[in-house]
Amino acid sequence: MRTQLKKGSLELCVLAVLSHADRYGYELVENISRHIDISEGTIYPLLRRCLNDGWFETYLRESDQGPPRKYYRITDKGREVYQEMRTEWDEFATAMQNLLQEVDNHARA
Amino acid sequence: MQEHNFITELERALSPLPTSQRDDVLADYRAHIYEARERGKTDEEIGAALGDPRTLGRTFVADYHLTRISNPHEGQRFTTSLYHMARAFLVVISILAFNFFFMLWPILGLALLLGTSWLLAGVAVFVGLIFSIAILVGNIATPATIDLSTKLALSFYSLSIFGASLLASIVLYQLSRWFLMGLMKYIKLNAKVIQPD
Repeated sequence: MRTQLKKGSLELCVLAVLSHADRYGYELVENISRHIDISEGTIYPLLRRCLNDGWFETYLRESDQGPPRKYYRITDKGREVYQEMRTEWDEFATAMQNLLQEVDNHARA
Repeated sequence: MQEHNFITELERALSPLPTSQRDDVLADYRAHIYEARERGKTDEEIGAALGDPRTLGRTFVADYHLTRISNPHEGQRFTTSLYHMARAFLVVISILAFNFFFMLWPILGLALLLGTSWLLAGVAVFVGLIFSIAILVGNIATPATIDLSTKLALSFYSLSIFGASLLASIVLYQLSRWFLMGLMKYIKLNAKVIQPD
């Protein structure tokens, strides 16, 4: 995948994962890198930016072993942004799929 | 447990940040490393997956300065905003320079080589042309002083110098085009690196 496209979609990945459930940093990275090959360190500057923009908030929760974990929770504002980006992405993906389909059909015909 | 190399290098790169912010960032990465170690990853694996700490550190520093411009503190002076703008600019340049550093010498070397070749080819074309003209004119102007075979040989040599250097120029032109195209690609690649991710 092209780096630029990947970077742009990383925000959407984080928003999507957090819209489903609260996660701590490492869990988030694991969730995303299971599907997409990312440089794991870049998640944290991104999370910080999103926090500054008020998309997420954080809280600490005790863990069974080790120190308490910092969890990220999506805010209402974050949900709004997610809905917007998601719609945009779905429209783009559908359009792209249609275009590729059309090209393939032409190539076969 | 022993501090990961990544943290040591990141801490150095984060030194321009206010202490509280730096500690926040470091805590996030310490937690990340802790979790990864808990899952049995080796320090090498963890470091490789995280990426380059210096570039990451600079990203945080650039972000910090940029937020100080877009969300100024209460009563922040214009000169302070200007200062943060300059700092953000410098950090971006330094991210670029870091990438550029490894490539700088090969690029300079190639440019120098091409430049010298162009100079030599230019001189050769010029000399060949002048001599060709001089000999052709000389053949007509002073037919008696030099015998015919010498005249022909001299014309032949000067014309071949002229021709060969022209040919070399065409090859050089193509090489230079490739060089410039490569350089453009490289610069574009670097411009992508500094765009916020």
